[in-house]
Amino acid sequence: MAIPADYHNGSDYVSGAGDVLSGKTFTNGSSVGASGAMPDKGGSTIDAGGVSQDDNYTYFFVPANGYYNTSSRIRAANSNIFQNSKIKVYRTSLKMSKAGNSITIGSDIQRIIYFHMDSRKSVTVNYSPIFNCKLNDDGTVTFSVKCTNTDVANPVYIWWH
Amino acid sequence: MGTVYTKSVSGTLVKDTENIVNFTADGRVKSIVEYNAEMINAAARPYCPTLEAWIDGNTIYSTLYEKSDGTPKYNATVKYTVL
Repeated sequence: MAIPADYHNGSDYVSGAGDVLSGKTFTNGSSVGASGAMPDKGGSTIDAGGVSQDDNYTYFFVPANGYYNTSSRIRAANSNIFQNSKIKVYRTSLKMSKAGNSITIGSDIQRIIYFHMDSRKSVTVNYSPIFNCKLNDDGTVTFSVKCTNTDVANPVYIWWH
Repeated sequence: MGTVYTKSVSGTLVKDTENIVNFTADGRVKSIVEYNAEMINAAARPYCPTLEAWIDGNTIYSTLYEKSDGTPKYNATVKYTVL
């Protein structure tokens, strides 16, 4: 494009500071030598603004506008991503009772995707049973059982991952 | 751990049947954080109670079972995180 020898306002090229890298200057129709404001994320490793998944993909959301290049990386903690290869399966048992009973097991557990609590092998009457499964802040998991019957039942069998 | 969401369901169990209930989550579920299920049947004879729960995409499913002589009611509350 040929620039007229006597005049050009530059408005076709730069609309504002956000179009120019921070640390650079530009001139347009309203400013001369103005400072750019686009954050330079080139070569940076930045935490994702969020992570989501569907059945086929994992999506990392860009946390902020800016300039990114092929050396830029968006990351998320492994705990935010499905890791099927690291699934562990645990089994334990617990007696149901009127007073209630619980067991805390595991370590460094970040997710519970399945659990099963089963007293089907017992023929003991468990009036109004209450089951509870809780992932604790310290990476352990606590299972609790309780019923209103005075008799202690056979174990509740538990497996989970 | 992130934001913890809570969903609850309640109803009546069909005896000697695996009653499957589900919780529609607020996103793709990352983890069950806590699950509490109560099968209320003080008068009848509820045998062999079973609770099971699992994640499938944006839904948490749960099986509640009692080989009961009656029709126990249930209350179930799940706390969970999303991706």
